[in-house]
Amino acid sequence: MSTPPDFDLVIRAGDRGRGYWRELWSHRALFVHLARRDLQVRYKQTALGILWGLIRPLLSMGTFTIIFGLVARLPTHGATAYPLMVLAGILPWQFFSTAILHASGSLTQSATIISRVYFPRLVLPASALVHGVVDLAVGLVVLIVVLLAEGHAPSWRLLFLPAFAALALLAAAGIGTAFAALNVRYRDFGYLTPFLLQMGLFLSPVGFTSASVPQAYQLVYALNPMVGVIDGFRWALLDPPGPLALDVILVSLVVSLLMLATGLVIFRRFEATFVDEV
Amino acid sequence: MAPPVVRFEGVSKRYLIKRQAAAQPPDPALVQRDRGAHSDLGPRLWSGIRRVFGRGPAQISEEVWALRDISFEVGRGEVFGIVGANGAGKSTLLKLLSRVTPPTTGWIGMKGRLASLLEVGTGFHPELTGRENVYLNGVILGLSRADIRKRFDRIVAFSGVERYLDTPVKRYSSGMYVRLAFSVAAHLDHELMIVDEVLAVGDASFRERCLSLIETAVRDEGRTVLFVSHDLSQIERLAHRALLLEGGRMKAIGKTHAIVGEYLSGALANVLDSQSPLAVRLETPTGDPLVAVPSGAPCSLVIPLGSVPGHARAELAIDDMHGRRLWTGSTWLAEAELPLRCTFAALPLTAGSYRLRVALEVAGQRIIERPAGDLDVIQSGGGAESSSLATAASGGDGDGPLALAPVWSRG
Repeated sequence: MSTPPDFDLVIRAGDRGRGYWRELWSHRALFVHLARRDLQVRYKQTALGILWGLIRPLLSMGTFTIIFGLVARLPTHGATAYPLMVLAGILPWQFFSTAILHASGSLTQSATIISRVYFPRLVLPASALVHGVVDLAVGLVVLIVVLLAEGHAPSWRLLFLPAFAALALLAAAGIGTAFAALNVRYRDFGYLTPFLLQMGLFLSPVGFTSASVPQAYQLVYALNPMVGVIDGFRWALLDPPGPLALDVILVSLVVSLLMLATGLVIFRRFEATFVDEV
Repeated sequence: MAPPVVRFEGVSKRYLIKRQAAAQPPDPALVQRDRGAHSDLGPRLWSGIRRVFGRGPAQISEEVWALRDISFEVGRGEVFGIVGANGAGKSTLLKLLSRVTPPTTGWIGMKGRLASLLEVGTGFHPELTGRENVYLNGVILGLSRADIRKRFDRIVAFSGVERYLDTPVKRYSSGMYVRLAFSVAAHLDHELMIVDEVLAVGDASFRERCLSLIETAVRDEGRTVLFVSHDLSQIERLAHRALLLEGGRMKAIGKTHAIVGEYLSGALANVLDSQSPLAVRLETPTGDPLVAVPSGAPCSLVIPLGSVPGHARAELAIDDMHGRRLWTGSTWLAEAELPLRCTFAALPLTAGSYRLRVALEVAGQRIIERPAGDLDVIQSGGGAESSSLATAASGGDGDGPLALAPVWSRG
């Protein structure tokens, strides 16, 4: 085979990966536009619109309060009312699960784009991750207003909230990209994801505090990255007794990073053949 | 030739088509009995589970080479046409060039940015307005926001949908949708353009504007265009050189006129081979077969043409038993793989046997002319008022004394 003369771009058989991340960065405008498109159309043609961002967490909060607060009498922490404790856990959880749900369906839903135009496919699950950000913002504003009304002034800790939201995205990113790629070949993942998320809701400290878990198992429990995220949210919003367990946060962070690395490896392995299978 | 801006070197593309191994044709009786009973659910579930764990001979992969050993160059400022029958690999070739799917062997080099006008409307979101979609689509196709803002007025003016810019595109007519989408893609100003069948859409005047837009871009801006179309007249008008693909391989490459000629003669040879003898079927206008048609009754003559290239004309003639031409009618063919149907509101022939002949003409050249079976006309129940018609009026749209205006259709 002769060597290619100076072309701007040479596509070789079996050649992928070089310059991928630079290319991904050069497509950041596409990322922004796809994310914005998703947010723009999110509540199109619904009567309640953005209110859904509020109704869903409030309904979940009501259910948890009745079943776990009143019937099972799970404890809250400190002086916080049980419903508010639950809400501070539900908001990050729904942010996390919305991100996973949309990221994992992002490739199959964009089949037409994938089969017509080239760009690094990672843009698709990445832009789908931020899908729940408006819902989260609306929910947080309402939660903070209620806290204020209860005479609970927000402290400097609130400044750390974005970091914990970012940790939730990081935790969702690995699962989301891996499932997005696997879903192209095995649509089974489309059925599996909602079920896993439902299980995750009960395995995460949403209806209870992570303090209810025996001390010896705290770090094992933190392998679920949402433990660190929800602990962080409650610490930043509610002023629970005791300091924030940094080792729990660290474990959640490391697990999230490992999952992201795994997700990216899976995604890259499948990426070249998406268009032939989607 | 100008320095190459696109080069294919030994490019092949293989697809693996998976299919179920247990593909014995199901016994219709069994299927009937099992419908709704789901009695085969157990085995199917089991084979699915075994497949996940990599066991069981559940799937066979079949290799399909969509393209094989493609090597060619396209120079700057050239319009390069790609022709071939359906499934010859035209679209795969463009997909490789636009990096949508990777080649299995070989390499492709290109100079300059590539604008792909593959089936436009990619990434249009029905809920967003025309304006929002122009921006979104532009970004998907590789423009920056500033680039789009600069071109926005031109895009909108070309599309002609100014009035509906702030309406969600799901309310657009399909014509408006396509025009707006094409406008975005056509105003990318990239050095390389891929045009795949997009000009098959829109009305004639819009198509004409698109063609002259491409011509201007090539002539005045030195852009390079790779062009796929089933409409050979478009290829002949625009392309300087062309490549003929057949079964994924390069059949010929060279001056457009010669290539189109070769494609046409090849395609027609196929029609001849596969369709001989051409037997015209007699049917009622609703598609039920007829053995003979009652005199003066409506009927359809169905000509079993296979894959005919565009740019051809089919001719149907009715002769009497002595070979005298009674009627000739003709129609232009769009490429399609359906039989051609010629429907008469009433066939004013007296009872008897008639001969049918079919001819195909390409660019004024008669490629095929051959007998195509007999047409039997029987006495109709309601008497024979029409008996004089066979020798009456002259004219029609061809030779022969009969003046008939049938409706031509496919299917």
